[in-house]
Amino acid sequence: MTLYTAFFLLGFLPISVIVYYAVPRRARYAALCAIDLVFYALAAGKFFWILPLFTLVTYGLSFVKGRVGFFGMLAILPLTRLCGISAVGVSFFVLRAAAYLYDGHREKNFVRLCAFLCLFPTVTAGPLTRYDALRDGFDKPANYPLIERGILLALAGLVKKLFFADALYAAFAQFHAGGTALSAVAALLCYALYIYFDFSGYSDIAIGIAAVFGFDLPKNFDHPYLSRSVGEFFRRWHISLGTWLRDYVYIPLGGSRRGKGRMLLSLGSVWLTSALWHGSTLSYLLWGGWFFCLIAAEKLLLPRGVHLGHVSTLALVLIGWVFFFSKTPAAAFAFFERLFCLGGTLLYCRADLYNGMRQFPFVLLAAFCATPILHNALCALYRRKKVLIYPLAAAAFALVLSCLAVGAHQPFLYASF
Amino acid sequence: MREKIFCRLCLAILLLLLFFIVRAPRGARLESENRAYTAFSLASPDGYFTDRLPMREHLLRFYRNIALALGKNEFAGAFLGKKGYIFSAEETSAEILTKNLDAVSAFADAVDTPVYTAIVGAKTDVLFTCLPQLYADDRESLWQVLEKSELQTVDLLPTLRRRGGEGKYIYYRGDHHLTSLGSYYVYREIVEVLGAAPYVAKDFSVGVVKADFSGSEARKMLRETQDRIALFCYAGDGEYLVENLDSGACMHGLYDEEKLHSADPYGVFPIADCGHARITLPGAERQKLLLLCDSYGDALAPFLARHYDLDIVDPRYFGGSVQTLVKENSYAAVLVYFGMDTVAGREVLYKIRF
Repeated sequence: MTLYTAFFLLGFLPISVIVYYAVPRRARYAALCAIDLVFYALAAGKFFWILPLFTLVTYGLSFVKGRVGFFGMLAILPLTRLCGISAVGVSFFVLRAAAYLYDGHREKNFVRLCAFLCLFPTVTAGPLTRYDALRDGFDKPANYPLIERGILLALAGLVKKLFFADALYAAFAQFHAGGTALSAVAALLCYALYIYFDFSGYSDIAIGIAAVFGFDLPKNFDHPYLSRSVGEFFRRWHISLGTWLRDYVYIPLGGSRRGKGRMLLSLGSVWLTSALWHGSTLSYLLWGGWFFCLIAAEKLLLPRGVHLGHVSTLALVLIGWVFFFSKTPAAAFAFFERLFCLGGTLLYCRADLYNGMRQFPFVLLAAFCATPILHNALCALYRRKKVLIYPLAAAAFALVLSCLAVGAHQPFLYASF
Repeated sequence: MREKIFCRLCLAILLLLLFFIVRAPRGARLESENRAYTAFSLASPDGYFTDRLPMREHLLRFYRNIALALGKNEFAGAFLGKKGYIFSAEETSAEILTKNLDAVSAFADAVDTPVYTAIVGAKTDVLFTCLPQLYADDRESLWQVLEKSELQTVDLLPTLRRRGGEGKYIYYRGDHHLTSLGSYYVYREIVEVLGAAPYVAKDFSVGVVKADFSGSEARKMLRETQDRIALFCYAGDGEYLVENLDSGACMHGLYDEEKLHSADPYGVFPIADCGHARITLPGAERQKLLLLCDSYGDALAPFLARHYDLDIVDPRYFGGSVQTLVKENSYAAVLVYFGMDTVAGREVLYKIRF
């Protein structure tokens, strides 16, 4: 079960909301813990026991002094991979629990800790949350403005995921199967939009649903494709992971305050951690290496206040995605050969024109929706003329239902990490 | 206050939807898709919920209209062409086709009866003038695979392309099958290769029995194509005995006109979706032909039945051994008759190796 399926949205969610708000406020964390565990059991299947067990381990490690708990928790990730345990949410759980241990929290109530670490909207694929951000949400009365914002955000996320991301993936697959340079360019653009809508959509759904349960989580994406530098891109892309890496890897290793050598070491560690967290394949290492080189070059070569610019940043980021979606380095280099029209690659063929003609309006609409224009207009409308938001929300809900009726959705990409 | 009303209204809507989903009739069929409702399973519960969404067909139309408005001519595995034709977007591969043809080759080597192979092109192979603008697909490579095979083949493509080019109604607009007219042209080609003299058009009385047929592609696209089902009848065709050897059911006559009013009017051809069927003319001594086919054979069988007693086997549903069947019966020939989308899309013929 995931956050964008019919069973979750029309069955699990309304019942969970009723259960959560029906119990006395002081016992809500226990109700939430039960909801979390049922959700995880339905999502993880035979590995349903993994996160409760890891929560118990975290609980134990929180009473151990020093950084033992932090490193012990991080060691779980390669261990589970070595043991062939591919349960959903483990990689996110490990980072969340490691942060909890690093920050020195010692929640004595195990059920409360479980409710935080296994918080169901974020358990399978983030965003990564800190205990401080959630601690206050447990015992508060229903905050209707927050819940309303959550519902609207979740609706926007569902539209992103179900309407845009799934169709963009289909377009990507179609263009990727081609053999020309034009189809490679189109595939790359579709993939860039797909991964943005897929992940930011999922994050919006998770943040929105968390808000329905009274937890105000920070945003995870901030229109990253409008960044003026690669460094800025990753401050606006998967913000919760970037923040985690900054706070628990980059800064503890010295960051940029102890000379260039130390900065490079810290940065290299960040990208190595990030690449290995995504997966232990050579393609992910190349992906991490590519962005490490770019950000290091930005830090070392560009004077302060000077940026690469939107177009150059976008081009460099797009090149990085090739390593991300290619299963092997050989596949990535074969794609580059196509992309740059090398090795006798045709510039275009008739099939490209046909596919392009059919996909262009949709991809253009998706690209427009990836900019802040629509988002800002909706936010302004929400602030000034809120009543007009409701018909739009109803239309979005109808669109979401129609997407659910069509069925066969592309699995959320980050759920596999 | 407004926020509170909004939040409660949202919850009420979700609960109302849940109520409708749970209360939806169980066991009834989804008529528009000609399939049963998905049963509830905790391992994969979404099909249960999506099948029972209130106003499901309206929701699907809403999505389709948005997709079409955004310039996509494709929906649910079908795409729109010109002149009202809807094409099926099947995934095919030369590798799968080669495997199926190898299976036929092994089968032909194992039996003493002559084996002929006739592959029917999909609409995308034939109706070029009805394809969408700029449409391109590498289907010629599939036909090259067939051409290079050492099987005894009946090349149907030139006839179908010529007749399609003449604007003849050889394919249904909203279904992938050949019409009876298309099957008639195919029959003529096949029977000549089998060594018999085909009957000419005037030997049949042709009548339209359904003028509002919407086939599988039309249903996928949620469109009504108003296709015509015409039947080629001839004197005495009511005497033929059609036996469904899977269910034991039998009927007299080559067509089951009661099915015209069902959810799937294509069932008028009575051997549809049957693993093993037999068409005989009681009291007559005739040569026997084994027709190994997919659903394209349904419309061809009535024509062949005029010449041969037919054993019709669809290997997708047939549980027995085809080679044993051939050894136990003295067939004059075996005709392997499939749609290109079937033999290049799925490994359906591996069973006939045994």
